[in-house]
Order: sequence, then structure tokens, then C-alpha cells
Amino acid sequence: MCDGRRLHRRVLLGARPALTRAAIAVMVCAALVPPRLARAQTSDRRPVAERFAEALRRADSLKRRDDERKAAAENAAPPLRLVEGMVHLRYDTTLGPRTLSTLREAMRIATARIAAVQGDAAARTIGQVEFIAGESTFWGFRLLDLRPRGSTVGGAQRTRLPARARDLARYFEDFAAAVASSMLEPTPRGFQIHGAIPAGPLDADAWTDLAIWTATSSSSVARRCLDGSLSDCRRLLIVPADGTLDAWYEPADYPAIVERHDWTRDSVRLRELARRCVTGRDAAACSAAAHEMSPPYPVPLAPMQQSLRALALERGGTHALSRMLNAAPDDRVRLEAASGMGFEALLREWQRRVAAARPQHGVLGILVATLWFATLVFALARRRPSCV
Amino acid sequence: MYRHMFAVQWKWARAPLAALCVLGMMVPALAMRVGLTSYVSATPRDLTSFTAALGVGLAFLAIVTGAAVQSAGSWPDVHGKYVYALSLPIAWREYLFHRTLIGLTLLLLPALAVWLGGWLAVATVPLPDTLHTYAGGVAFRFLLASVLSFAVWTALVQLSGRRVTLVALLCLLALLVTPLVLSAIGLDLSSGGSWNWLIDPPSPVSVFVSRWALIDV
Repeated sequence: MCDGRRLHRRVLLGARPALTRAAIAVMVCAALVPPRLARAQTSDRRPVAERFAEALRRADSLKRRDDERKAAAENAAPPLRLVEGMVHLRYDTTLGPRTLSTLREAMRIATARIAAVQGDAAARTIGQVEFIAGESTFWGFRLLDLRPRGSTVGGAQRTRLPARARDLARYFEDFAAAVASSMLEPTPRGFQIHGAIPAGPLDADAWTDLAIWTATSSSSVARRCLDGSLSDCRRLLIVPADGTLDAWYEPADYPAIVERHDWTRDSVRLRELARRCVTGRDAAACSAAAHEMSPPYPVPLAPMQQSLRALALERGGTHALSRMLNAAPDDRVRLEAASGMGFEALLREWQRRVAAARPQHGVLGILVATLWFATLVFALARRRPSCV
Repeated sequence: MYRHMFAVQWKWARAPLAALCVLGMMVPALAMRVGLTSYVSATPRDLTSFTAALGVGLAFLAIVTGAAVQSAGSWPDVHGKYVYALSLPIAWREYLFHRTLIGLTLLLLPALAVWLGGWLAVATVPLPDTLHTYAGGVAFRFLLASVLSFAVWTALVQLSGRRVTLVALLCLLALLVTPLVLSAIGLDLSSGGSWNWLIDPPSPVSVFVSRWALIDV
């Protein structure tokens, strides 16, 4: 038979009633003792606003000290030093020998490419900064952290390892370009070049892209520029303060750009104008609609102007960038100073370079196909099938 | 011997060849007519980008053409286990030489059709001075690509016999799946450039993936 009272006590007090009773007694005593005044409560009788301002000042001071400590920790130079070309690097023992070798190769590539564009000015851009490299892991992936030490220009970069030297070199090149661009005073008026100073010499593909963009542009001005009209090249490159549509496009080009514009958010009147232009071929409607929209760039503006700047630096030689940095803050003057030639001559050279970069339909494909065909046929001729 | 073999091969291959010739001639013209109607006024960029996309279709057609002409001619050989070929009173090399020459001759016909179709397609499109037509160039590339496809298919047929279709499909599958698998295990193919060996010269694939544009800069 089961005793109901004993069972009730066992359930209520557990297997060890003496311990349970002691715990209950401690809790009851703790509840009966009156609470003491908290020492944290202040007797300060100053106005709340004043106390609040002081708390803010204290928090601000704490944050500043914390930031300073972090900055000091970040800028603390790791013990080991690597110099390759004009690039200076500090690193710690987290870097493995393979990563170090890749970094050395990257620094060598970057130095050559930066020197090709910046010449003697490279000593003022990349040569005066020390980079810090370290290796870390994130979710099992090895990462290389690169950052300039104590520079306000250019940021940090995190690259997954193993990395290619060419990709790492790009970081140093972009940094040098950003520093050089920051040295250029803003141009208050006149001809303005958009974008930074090129990070390296423009390769053949960049010129070919430019040739393709110009040849396939919706603007007849751009296409005439490619065919050798310097006045049209000037219209294309120099962005007027107003009237970009008239500078870049001609009435014959209006239907195409009006058709490609998104009119869905415009008024009913404009949509009707666009419709009459596209389907009705109404020249007046085309002109009115085209003047209501912001015209698209006939050729991507930044790469086009960058190529002109790169050409000026290339033609000017070693001291080109130094001359550009010291010239008056007008991009036409800067280009002339850097290249050592007149703007018109530089424009002619640019036009020639773009026209010459049209893609060639070469014989490489013919050679490859013939080679593989001959190889396969020769191999098959040596392997006689068996009829068994 | 050449004339005799040509007559036999022509008899076996003429039906697929005729179909491929019609396709080769019609595809550029029809595609231009259909593809360029999305805008009322086609810009030079529309023309080049559309004909470049059309080039992908032509490259695919070239692969099919080479494989079809080769299969049509070699199908009896494969199923007869080369008894006919080896019973001829000529050496294997000579037989292969004749077969290759006949294949090249037959592949000229679809290439000519592509040239004619391309010429018809671009003849009706007004072009700015900065653009040029490359109907002949595209037809020549088509010929090269189909010849290469013919040679590759010949090799596959000889190596795998009747299982050639299965082997070709497995090769294609491997080509499609390998990049996905490598990406899944963390190898970045896009930035590494290590995968470019597959599509850059001297890879045979480069013949098919290079830029084929009827209208170009």
C-alpha cells in the first residue's frame, strides 16, 4: 500500500529533505532582511542637463582614448621589413614564405607599372608610404590583409590566399593612383577630366574597347571622330557646362536615343512626344523629346578622358606627372604641361591611337584550327582500326 | 578511287547536308530580320551585339555540321566494323586521306551557304562608315570550325566506336560540370585566369568561342 502523506513529502521536499529545508530557510531569511540603500545612488544636486552634458563629455573622452589606442595598435610597425622597388612593406611572422614570395613579385610588378605612368613623381606617391601586411583566417579561409600605415588616402584590402601577384600588385597601383589624384587641385573651370589618374599604362585591350565603343556609338559625332574629324573628337571629349545634347548628338541621332530612354516616369505629354518621334518619325517631336531628357554619354566618358590623360603621361616621359601636378588647375593646361605638346596635337595622337586599336580579325584562329586538324588526322592515320 | 568514294559518301551525306545548307543560309537572314525588330531604329551597337550573338548560333551549327557530315559517312564503317574500308585495295592511310578530302569538299557546301545567307542578311541593313560586314570571314570561320569538328568527331568515332554519342555527351557534361565543381570547392575560376587555357588559343575550343560577327568594327 502506498502512504499518501509520505509520497506527498517526497515529491515536495525531494530525496534529501534536510538539504531542501535548509535552502528554503536561507531564502526566507534573505527575504526578511530589509534592503540597504544602494551606494550607487548619487547625492549630486546639480541640474539634470548639466549632469547629462558631463556624462556625454566623459563618454566622448573614453571613445577618443579607445580610438587612439586602436589606431596606435594598427599603426604599430610589425617587426619585419621588405622593400622591393619603391614599395615598402612591414609584416609579421604570420606571413608564410609562399605569400611573401607572391608579395615580393607583386611589389616588383607594381613598381614597374607605377613608374611607367608616374615617373619621378612615384617617389612622392608610393615611395613615401609604408604598407602593413598580415595574414588572418576567416571561416577556414586564409586572408591577406594589406593597409597603408598612417595614410589618409587609400584603404585596406583583404585578399583570399593563395593570391596572384598581379592581383596584389593592383592594390599598390590603385593606391599610388589615388595618392597622385589627391595631389591634383580641383579644377574650378574649363575643361575637366573625370576620374583618377590611371593606375598603370593603358593596355591594348583598353584602347580596343575605346575603339569599339566609339565605332558603335549612337552618336554620329563619335563615329566621325573615329574617322578622323578632330573637331568632333573635341566635341566628344570636352563636356560643355550646358547643352550636352547638341554637343554630342545630331538630329539624325535623336530617334535612337529617344527610343532607348525610359519615359515611363515622365508626363503624358513627353510620352506622347517620344511615341510620335519613334513611331511617327516626327523630327520636331524627336528634337523636343531629346531636349527634355538627359542625353546618355555617346562613349563612356571616364575611360575616354582617362585614355587622353594616360596618353599625355606616356608622351611626356619621366617628369610628366610632376609637370602635371605643378601646372595651373585647368585640365587642358595640365595635359599640355604633362605631354609637352599642344592640346590639338595630343588630340590628333589620341584619335590615331583609338583608330589604330580597332580589333583585327587575325590569322590566329586559322592557325589553331589547321594545327589541330592536322594533328588529329595524323594521329588517326597511325592508328589502323581492327575489323575483328 | 577518290571519285568512287566521293560518289558513295555523297549518297550517304547529301540529305543531312542539304538540310544544313538550308539552315546555314536561312539562319543569318531570318535572325537579322527577327532580332532587329525590337527597336524601330537600330543603333550600330545593336547591330554588332546582335550579330555577335548570332555568331554563337553559327558556331554551334558548325559543330553540328562537322559531326553530321562525318557521321553520315562513317556510320556504315562503324556498324560494319571497318570491313569495307579494310577490304579496299588501298592502305589505311590512303583511305583516311581520301575520306578527309571528301569531308573537306562536302563541308565547303554549308560554308558557301553561310556566306550567301550572311551576305543576304547584311545587304539589307544600312551601315554607318565605322562598321563593316564580314560575311566572307564568318563563312571561312564556319568552314574552319566545321572541319575541326569533323576531325574531332572522326577521332571520337575511331576511339569509341558505336558509343561515340555517349562519349561525346560525357565529354560535354564534364566540360559543363567541372567549373561548377571547382567553384563549389572554392576555386575561383573567374579571377584566377587558370580556366582560360580552355578557351584561349591554342585550345581547339578557341576556334568556336572566338568572336564571329557578321557586322563588326
